[in-house]
Amino acid sequence: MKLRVNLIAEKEVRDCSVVTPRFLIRLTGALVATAVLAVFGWVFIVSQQRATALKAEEWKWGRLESDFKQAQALSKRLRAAEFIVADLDVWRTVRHKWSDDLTAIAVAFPETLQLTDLSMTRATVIPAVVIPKSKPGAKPPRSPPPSPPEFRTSLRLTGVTSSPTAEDDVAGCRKIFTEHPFTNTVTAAVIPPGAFRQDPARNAGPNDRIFEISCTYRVITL
Amino acid sequence: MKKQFTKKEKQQFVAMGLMALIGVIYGIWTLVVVPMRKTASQRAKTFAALVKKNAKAEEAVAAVAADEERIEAINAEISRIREEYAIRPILGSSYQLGLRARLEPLANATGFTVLALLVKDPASMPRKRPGAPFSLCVAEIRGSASYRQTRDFLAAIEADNPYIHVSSLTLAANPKSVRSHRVIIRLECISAPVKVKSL
Repeated sequence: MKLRVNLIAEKEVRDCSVVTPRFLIRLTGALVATAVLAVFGWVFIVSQQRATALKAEEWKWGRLESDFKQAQALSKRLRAAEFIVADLDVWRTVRHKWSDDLTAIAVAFPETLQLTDLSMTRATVIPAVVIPKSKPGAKPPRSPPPSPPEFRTSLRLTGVTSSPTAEDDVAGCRKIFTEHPFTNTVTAAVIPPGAFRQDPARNAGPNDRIFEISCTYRVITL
Repeated sequence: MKKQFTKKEKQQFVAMGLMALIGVIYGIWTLVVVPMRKTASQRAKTFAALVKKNAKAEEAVAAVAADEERIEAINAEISRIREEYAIRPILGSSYQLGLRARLEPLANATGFTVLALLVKDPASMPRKRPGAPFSLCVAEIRGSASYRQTRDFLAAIEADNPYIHVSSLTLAANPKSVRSHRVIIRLECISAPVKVKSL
Protein backbone atom coordinates (compact mmCIF):
# COMPACT_ATOMS: atom_id res chain seq x y z
CA MET A 1 0.00 0.00 0.00
CA LYS A 2 1.34 3.38 -1.11
CA LEU A 3 1.17 6.32 1.23
CA ARG A 4 0.87 9.85 -0.11
CA VAL A 5 1.70 12.68 2.24
CA ASN A 6 0.63 16.29 1.38
CA LEU A 7 2.42 18.78 3.61
CA ILE A 8 0.96 21.96 1.96
CA ALA A 9 -1.81 23.61 3.87
CA GLU A 10 -5.03 24.07 1.97
CA LYS A 11 -4.71 27.90 1.92
CA GLU A 12 -1.16 27.58 0.59
CA VAL A 13 -2.29 25.63 -2.47
CA ARG A 14 -1.61 27.54 -5.72
CA ASP A 15 -3.37 26.93 -9.00
CA CYS A 16 -0.77 26.30 -11.68
CA SER A 17 -3.18 26.47 -14.69
CA VAL A 18 -2.87 29.39 -17.22
CA VAL A 19 -6.54 30.49 -16.88
CA THR A 20 -6.53 31.62 -13.31
CA PRO A 21 -9.50 33.27 -11.59
CA ARG A 22 -7.49 36.51 -11.49
CA PHE A 23 -6.97 36.33 -15.24
CA LEU A 24 -10.66 35.65 -15.76
CA ILE A 25 -11.62 38.65 -13.62
CA ARG A 26 -9.24 40.94 -15.52
CA LEU A 27 -10.46 39.65 -18.85
CA THR A 28 -14.10 40.14 -17.89
CA GLY A 29 -13.33 43.64 -16.60
CA ALA A 30 -11.57 44.56 -19.81
CA LEU A 31 -14.41 43.18 -21.94
CA VAL A 32 -17.04 45.03 -19.93
CA ALA A 33 -15.03 48.26 -20.09
CA THR A 34 -14.62 47.86 -23.85
CA ALA A 35 -18.33 47.17 -24.29
CA VAL A 36 -19.26 50.22 -22.20
CA LEU A 37 -16.84 52.41 -24.15
CA ALA A 38 -18.13 51.02 -27.46
CA VAL A 39 -21.74 51.75 -26.54
CA PHE A 40 -20.82 55.19 -25.26
CA GLY A 41 -18.80 55.93 -28.39
CA TRP A 42 -21.52 54.66 -30.68
CA VAL A 43 -24.17 56.79 -28.95
CA PHE A 44 -21.85 59.79 -29.06
CA ILE A 45 -21.08 59.34 -32.78
CA VAL A 46 -24.77 58.90 -33.67
CA SER A 47 -25.65 62.01 -31.67
CA GLN A 48 -22.94 64.03 -33.42
CA GLN A 49 -23.97 62.76 -36.86
CA ARG A 50 -27.55 63.78 -36.21
CA ALA A 51 -26.46 67.17 -34.97
CA THR A 52 -24.44 67.71 -38.16
CA ALA A 53 -27.30 66.57 -40.40
CA LEU A 54 -29.72 68.79 -38.48
CA LYS A 55 -27.42 71.78 -38.93
CA ALA A 56 -27.26 71.09 -42.68
CA GLU A 57 -31.05 70.95 -42.94
CA GLU A 58 -31.39 74.11 -40.84
CA TRP A 59 -29.01 75.88 -43.19
CA LYS A 60 -31.05 74.63 -46.16
CA TRP A 61 -34.28 75.87 -44.54
CA GLY A 62 -32.66 79.23 -43.90
CA ARG A 63 -31.98 79.52 -47.62
CA LEU A 64 -35.45 78.34 -48.64
CA GLU A 65 -37.64 80.08 -46.06
CA SER A 66 -38.24 83.40 -47.80
CA ASP A 67 -38.75 81.77 -51.21
CA PHE A 68 -41.14 79.29 -49.63
CA LYS A 69 -43.18 82.07 -48.03
CA GLN A 70 -43.45 83.81 -51.40
CA ALA A 71 -44.41 80.53 -53.06
CA GLN A 72 -47.08 79.96 -50.42
CA ALA A 73 -48.51 83.44 -50.96
CA LEU A 74 -48.56 82.80 -54.70
CA SER A 75 -50.21 79.43 -54.21
CA LYS A 76 -52.87 81.09 -52.02
CA ARG A 77 -53.48 83.66 -54.76
CA LEU A 78 -53.76 80.87 -57.31
CA ARG A 79 -56.26 78.98 -55.16
CA ALA A 80 -58.38 82.11 -54.73
CA ALA A 81 -58.25 82.73 -58.50
CA GLU A 82 -59.19 79.11 -59.22
CA PHE A 83 -62.17 79.39 -56.86
CA ILE A 84 -63.35 82.46 -58.74
CA VAL A 85 -63.00 80.74 -62.10
CA ALA A 86 -64.78 77.68 -60.70
CA ASP A 87 -67.60 79.92 -59.44
CA LEU A 88 -67.95 81.46 -62.88
CA ASP A 89 -67.97 78.01 -64.49
CA VAL A 90 -70.67 76.83 -62.11
CA TRP A 91 -72.64 80.03 -62.69
CA ARG A 92 -72.51 79.39 -66.43
CA THR A 93 -73.30 75.69 -66.32
CA VAL A 94 -76.23 75.81 -63.87
CA ARG A 95 -78.09 78.35 -65.98
CA HIS A 96 -81.51 77.19 -67.00
CA LYS A 97 -82.50 78.07 -70.56
CA TRP A 98 -86.06 79.36 -70.21
CA SER A 99 -86.45 79.84 -73.94
CA ASP A 100 -86.29 76.03 -74.32
CA ASP A 101 -89.02 75.58 -71.73
CA LEU A 102 -91.20 78.23 -73.36
CA THR A 103 -90.78 76.45 -76.69
CA ALA A 104 -91.66 73.08 -75.17
CA ILE A 105 -94.73 74.52 -73.44
CA ALA A 106 -95.90 76.21 -76.66
CA VAL A 107 -95.50 73.00 -78.65
CA ALA A 108 -97.25 70.71 -76.18
CA PHE A 109 -99.90 73.04 -74.79
CA PRO A 110 -103.41 71.76 -75.73
CA GLU A 111 -105.27 74.03 -78.13
CA THR A 112 -108.37 73.87 -75.97
CA LEU A 113 -106.62 75.70 -73.13
CA GLN A 114 -105.72 79.35 -73.08
CA LEU A 115 -102.78 80.48 -71.01
CA THR A 116 -103.46 83.72 -69.19
CA ASP A 117 -100.51 83.94 -66.90
CA LEU A 118 -97.09 82.36 -66.71
CA SER A 119 -94.92 83.04 -63.75
CA MET A 120 -91.48 81.64 -63.13
CA THR A 121 -89.50 82.48 -60.03
CA ARG A 122 -86.05 81.38 -59.09
CA ALA A 123 -84.87 82.12 -55.58
CA THR A 124 -81.31 81.90 -54.36
CA VAL A 125 -81.34 80.29 -50.95
CA ILE A 126 -78.41 79.80 -48.65
CA PRO A 127 -79.30 76.80 -46.46
CA ALA A 128 -78.87 77.32 -42.75
CA VAL A 129 -75.82 75.73 -41.22
CA VAL A 130 -76.50 73.35 -38.35
CA ILE A 131 -74.12 74.13 -35.53
CA PRO A 132 -73.52 71.07 -33.34
CA LYS A 133 -74.39 71.55 -29.69
CA SER A 134 -71.48 71.66 -27.30
CA LYS A 135 -71.43 69.90 -23.98
CA PRO A 136 -71.58 72.21 -20.95
CA GLY A 137 -68.10 73.30 -19.97
CA ALA A 138 -66.56 71.89 -23.14
CA LYS A 139 -64.85 73.98 -25.78
CA PRO A 140 -67.46 75.21 -28.31
CA PRO A 141 -67.17 73.25 -31.58
CA ARG A 142 -65.87 74.99 -34.68
CA SER A 143 -68.70 76.29 -36.81
CA PRO A 144 -68.97 74.33 -40.06
CA PRO A 145 -68.29 76.09 -43.37
CA PRO A 146 -71.26 77.89 -44.94
CA SER A 147 -73.45 75.74 -47.16
CA PRO A 148 -73.34 76.46 -50.88
CA PRO A 149 -76.24 78.54 -52.21
CA GLU A 150 -79.12 76.78 -53.91
CA PHE A 151 -81.39 77.77 -56.75
CA ARG A 152 -85.02 76.90 -56.06
CA THR A 153 -87.22 77.42 -59.06
CA SER A 154 -90.94 77.21 -59.49
CA LEU A 155 -93.25 77.74 -62.43
CA ARG A 156 -96.94 78.54 -62.26
CA LEU A 157 -99.22 78.44 -65.25
CA THR A 158 -102.70 79.88 -65.07
CA GLY A 159 -105.26 79.64 -67.84
CA VAL A 160 -108.88 79.44 -68.89
CA THR A 161 -110.81 76.93 -70.92
CA SER A 162 -114.34 76.38 -72.08
CA SER A 163 -113.72 72.95 -73.54
CA PRO A 164 -116.10 70.14 -72.57
CA THR A 165 -113.02 67.96 -72.06
CA ALA A 166 -111.34 70.59 -69.91
CA GLU A 167 -110.51 68.29 -67.01
CA ASP A 168 -108.72 65.81 -69.26
CA ASP A 169 -107.00 68.62 -71.13
CA VAL A 170 -105.68 70.21 -67.95
CA ALA A 171 -104.51 66.81 -66.72
CA GLY A 172 -102.82 66.31 -70.09
CA CYS A 173 -101.22 69.73 -69.79
CA ARG A 174 -99.85 68.82 -66.36
CA LYS A 175 -98.44 65.66 -67.91
CA ILE A 176 -96.27 67.78 -70.24
CA PHE A 177 -94.02 68.42 -67.26
CA THR A 178 -93.47 64.74 -66.57
CA GLU A 179 -92.19 64.08 -70.07
CA HIS A 180 -89.27 65.14 -72.21
CA PRO A 181 -87.76 67.80 -72.05
CA PHE A 182 -88.90 68.39 -68.45
CA THR A 183 -88.01 64.99 -67.01
CA ASN A 184 -84.56 66.11 -65.90
CA THR A 185 -85.57 69.49 -64.57
CA VAL A 186 -89.06 69.36 -63.10
CA THR A 187 -89.44 67.30 -59.96
CA ALA A 188 -93.15 67.89 -59.37
CA ALA A 189 -96.04 69.25 -61.41
CA VAL A 190 -99.36 69.50 -59.62
CA ILE A 191 -102.77 71.01 -60.04
CA PRO A 192 -103.23 72.53 -56.58
CA PRO A 193 -106.46 71.54 -54.80
CA GLY A 194 -109.27 73.82 -55.91
CA ALA A 195 -107.21 75.27 -58.73
CA PHE A 196 -109.40 73.75 -61.43
CA ARG A 197 -112.77 75.43 -60.94
CA GLN A 198 -115.60 77.41 -62.45
CA ASP A 199 -114.47 80.76 -63.84
CA PRO A 200 -115.69 83.37 -61.31
CA ALA A 201 -115.80 86.15 -63.95
CA ARG A 202 -119.21 87.79 -64.42
CA ASN A 203 -119.46 87.08 -68.12
CA ALA A 204 -118.25 83.49 -67.79
CA GLY A 205 -120.38 80.71 -69.27
CA PRO A 206 -121.24 77.43 -67.50
CA ASN A 207 -118.39 75.62 -69.29
CA ASP A 208 -115.79 78.28 -68.53
CA ARG A 209 -113.19 77.02 -66.13
CA ILE A 210 -109.94 78.34 -64.80
CA PHE A 211 -106.97 76.18 -63.95
CA GLU A 212 -103.55 76.39 -62.46
CA ILE A 213 -100.53 74.12 -62.72
CA SER A 214 -97.61 74.49 -60.34
CA CYS A 215 -94.22 73.02 -61.14
CA THR A 216 -91.24 72.66 -58.86
CA TYR A 217 -87.85 72.43 -60.45
CA ARG A 218 -84.92 70.41 -59.27
CA VAL A 219 -82.89 72.28 -56.66
CA ILE A 220 -79.54 73.28 -58.07
CA THR A 221 -76.62 73.66 -55.71
CA LEU A 222 -74.00 76.16 -56.76
CA MET B 1 4.36 38.77 3.18
CA LYS B 2 1.30 38.96 1.02
CA LYS B 3 -1.84 38.28 2.95
CA GLN B 4 -3.55 35.18 1.84
CA PHE B 5 -7.34 35.40 1.55
CA THR B 6 -9.65 32.57 2.28
CA LYS B 7 -11.95 31.29 -0.45
CA LYS B 8 -14.96 32.95 1.21
CA GLU B 9 -13.11 36.28 1.38
CA LYS B 10 -12.26 35.99 -2.30
CA GLN B 11 -15.89 35.32 -3.16
CA GLN B 12 -16.89 38.37 -1.16
CA PHE B 13 -14.34 40.49 -3.04
CA VAL B 14 -15.65 39.25 -6.39
CA ALA B 15 -19.25 39.96 -5.38
CA MET B 16 -18.33 43.47 -4.23
CA GLY B 17 -16.34 44.09 -7.40
CA LEU B 18 -19.25 42.95 -9.52
CA MET B 19 -21.65 45.21 -7.64
CA ALA B 20 -19.29 48.16 -8.03
CA LEU B 21 -18.95 47.43 -11.73
CA ILE B 22 -22.72 47.24 -12.18
CA GLY B 23 -23.05 50.51 -10.26
CA VAL B 24 -20.48 52.22 -12.47
CA ILE B 25 -22.13 50.93 -15.66
CA TYR B 26 -25.56 51.97 -14.42
CA GLY B 27 -24.21 55.43 -13.52
CA ILE B 28 -22.66 55.91 -16.96
CA TRP B 29 -25.83 54.62 -18.64
CA THR B 30 -28.12 56.88 -16.64
CA LEU B 31 -26.04 60.02 -16.54
CA VAL B 32 -24.38 59.94 -19.92
CA VAL B 33 -25.82 57.45 -22.40
CA VAL B 34 -29.52 57.99 -21.71
CA PRO B 35 -29.46 61.84 -22.00
CA MET B 36 -27.27 61.55 -25.08
CA ARG B 37 -29.68 59.09 -26.69
CA LYS B 38 -32.62 61.31 -25.74
CA THR B 39 -30.96 64.29 -27.38
CA ALA B 40 -30.11 62.20 -30.42
CA SER B 41 -33.67 60.95 -30.72
CA GLN B 42 -35.01 64.50 -30.39
CA ARG B 43 -32.57 65.66 -33.03
CA ALA B 44 -33.68 62.79 -35.26
CA LYS B 45 -37.31 63.88 -34.91
CA THR B 46 -36.47 67.53 -35.61
CA PHE B 47 -34.32 66.42 -38.52
CA ALA B 48 -37.12 64.29 -40.02
CA ALA B 49 -39.61 67.14 -39.67
CA LEU B 50 -37.16 69.60 -41.19
CA VAL B 51 -36.39 67.26 -44.09
CA LYS B 52 -40.13 67.01 -44.79
CA LYS B 53 -40.50 70.78 -44.48
CA ASN B 54 -37.57 71.38 -46.80
CA ALA B 55 -38.91 68.89 -49.36
CA LYS B 56 -42.29 70.64 -49.24
CA ALA B 57 -40.60 74.03 -49.55
CA GLU B 58 -38.50 72.84 -52.51
CA GLU B 59 -41.62 71.47 -54.17
CA ALA B 60 -43.49 74.74 -53.59
CA VAL B 61 -40.59 76.82 -54.87
CA ALA B 62 -40.27 74.57 -57.92
CA ALA B 63 -43.97 75.09 -58.67
CA VAL B 64 -43.70 78.89 -58.63
CA ALA B 65 -43.18 79.23 -62.37
CA ALA B 66 -46.15 76.98 -63.15
CA ASP B 67 -48.32 78.83 -60.61
CA GLU B 68 -47.39 82.19 -62.08
CA GLU B 69 -48.22 80.90 -65.54
CA ARG B 70 -51.56 79.58 -64.31
CA ILE B 71 -52.44 82.87 -62.59
CA GLU B 72 -51.59 84.68 -65.79
CA ALA B 73 -53.85 82.33 -67.76
CA ILE B 74 -56.67 82.80 -65.24
CA ASN B 75 -56.28 86.56 -65.39
CA ALA B 76 -56.44 86.40 -69.18
CA GLU B 77 -59.58 84.23 -69.02
CA ILE B 78 -61.20 86.53 -66.47
CA SER B 79 -60.28 89.51 -68.56
CA ARG B 80 -61.90 87.88 -71.63
CA ILE B 81 -65.09 87.10 -69.69
CA ARG B 82 -65.14 90.65 -68.36
CA GLU B 83 -64.71 92.21 -71.77
CA GLU B 84 -67.17 89.93 -73.55
CA TYR B 85 -69.87 89.19 -71.01
CA ALA B 86 -69.73 91.34 -67.88
CA ILE B 87 -72.02 94.33 -67.65
CA ARG B 88 -69.79 97.37 -67.33
CA PRO B 89 -70.78 100.82 -66.17
CA ILE B 90 -70.90 103.35 -68.97
CA LEU B 91 -69.84 106.92 -68.26
CA GLY B 92 -68.30 105.76 -65.05
CA SER B 93 -71.36 104.92 -63.02
CA SER B 94 -74.34 103.59 -64.91
CA TYR B 95 -74.70 99.86 -65.21
CA GLN B 96 -78.13 100.54 -66.68
CA LEU B 97 -76.62 102.07 -69.78
CA GLY B 98 -74.22 99.17 -70.04
CA LEU B 99 -77.03 96.63 -69.97
CA ARG B 100 -79.27 98.67 -72.23
CA ALA B 101 -76.55 98.79 -74.86
CA ARG B 102 -76.39 95.03 -74.77
CA LEU B 103 -80.13 94.29 -74.66
CA GLU B 104 -81.53 96.83 -77.08
CA PRO B 105 -80.19 95.21 -80.27
CA LEU B 106 -81.55 91.84 -79.08
CA ALA B 107 -84.96 93.32 -78.31
CA ASN B 108 -85.08 95.09 -81.67
CA ALA B 109 -84.10 91.93 -83.50
CA THR B 110 -86.84 89.86 -81.85
CA GLY B 111 -89.60 92.50 -81.79
CA PHE B 112 -89.70 92.70 -78.00
CA THR B 113 -90.73 96.14 -76.84
CA VAL B 114 -88.78 97.24 -73.78
CA LEU B 115 -90.95 99.64 -71.78
CA ALA B 116 -88.65 100.04 -68.84
CA LEU B 117 -85.29 98.81 -67.72
CA LEU B 118 -84.16 99.09 -64.15
CA VAL B 119 -80.76 97.97 -62.97
CA LYS B 120 -80.00 97.65 -59.29
CA ASP B 121 -76.58 98.34 -57.83
CA PRO B 122 -74.30 95.33 -58.16
CA ALA B 123 -74.21 92.96 -55.23
CA SER B 124 -71.93 90.04 -54.37
CA MET B 125 -72.25 86.83 -56.34
CA PRO B 126 -74.15 84.09 -54.45
CA ARG B 127 -70.86 82.66 -53.24
CA LYS B 128 -69.04 85.58 -51.74
CA ARG B 129 -65.34 85.58 -52.51
CA PRO B 130 -63.28 88.40 -51.07
CA GLY B 131 -61.45 90.25 -53.83
CA ALA B 132 -63.52 88.66 -56.60
CA PRO B 133 -63.43 90.81 -59.74
CA PHE B 134 -67.10 90.19 -60.55
CA SER B 135 -70.32 91.24 -58.95
CA LEU B 136 -73.95 90.41 -59.59
CA CYS B 137 -76.11 92.94 -61.34
CA VAL B 138 -79.87 92.46 -61.10
CA ALA B 139 -81.99 94.03 -63.80
CA GLU B 140 -85.71 94.18 -64.34
CA ILE B 141 -87.11 94.55 -67.82
CA ARG B 142 -90.74 95.51 -68.29
CA GLY B 143 -91.95 95.00 -71.77
CA SER B 144 -94.71 94.16 -74.12
CA ALA B 145 -94.55 91.29 -76.57
CA SER B 146 -96.23 88.17 -77.82
CA TYR B 147 -95.38 84.77 -76.34
CA ARG B 148 -93.18 84.03 -79.34
CA GLN B 149 -91.37 87.37 -79.18
CA THR B 150 -90.76 86.88 -75.47
CA ARG B 151 -89.37 83.42 -76.09
CA ASP B 152 -87.17 84.68 -78.92
CA PHE B 153 -85.95 87.58 -76.80
CA LEU B 154 -85.02 85.19 -73.98
CA ALA B 155 -83.34 82.86 -76.47
CA ALA B 156 -81.37 85.80 -77.87
CA ILE B 157 -80.27 86.90 -74.39
CA GLU B 158 -79.26 83.34 -73.49
CA ALA B 159 -77.36 82.90 -76.74
CA ASP B 160 -75.66 86.27 -76.47
CA ASN B 161 -74.35 85.86 -72.96
CA PRO B 162 -73.86 82.53 -71.15
CA TYR B 163 -73.45 84.35 -67.85
CA ILE B 164 -76.91 85.94 -67.80
CA HIS B 165 -79.55 84.12 -65.81
CA VAL B 166 -83.26 84.74 -66.09
CA SER B 167 -84.21 84.67 -62.44
CA SER B 168 -87.85 85.54 -62.87
CA LEU B 169 -90.34 85.77 -65.68
CA THR B 170 -93.93 86.91 -65.56
CA LEU B 171 -96.02 86.80 -68.65
CA ALA B 172 -99.55 88.09 -68.19
CA ALA B 173 -101.94 87.85 -71.10
CA ASN B 174 -103.36 91.06 -72.37
CA PRO B 175 -107.01 90.26 -73.20
CA LYS B 176 -107.22 93.23 -75.56
CA SER B 177 -104.23 92.26 -77.66
CA VAL B 178 -102.70 88.79 -77.79
CA ARG B 179 -99.70 90.28 -79.53
CA SER B 180 -98.74 92.45 -76.59
CA HIS B 181 -98.71 90.53 -73.33
CA ARG B 182 -97.30 92.24 -70.30
CA VAL B 183 -93.89 90.79 -69.59
CA ILE B 184 -91.58 91.27 -66.65
CA ILE B 185 -88.18 89.66 -66.88
CA ARG B 186 -85.67 89.76 -64.10
CA LEU B 187 -82.09 89.09 -65.08
CA GLU B 188 -79.02 88.32 -63.05
CA CYS B 189 -75.84 89.21 -64.88
CA ILE B 190 -72.22 89.23 -63.91
CA SER B 191 -70.87 92.75 -63.76
CA ALA B 192 -67.52 94.37 -63.25
CA PRO B 193 -66.39 97.87 -62.45
CA VAL B 194 -64.39 99.91 -64.95
CA LYS B 195 -61.09 99.40 -63.19
CA VAL B 196 -60.45 95.84 -62.13
CA LYS B 197 -57.53 94.61 -60.07
CA SER B 198 -55.77 91.54 -61.39
CA LEU B 199 -55.94 88.43 -59.25
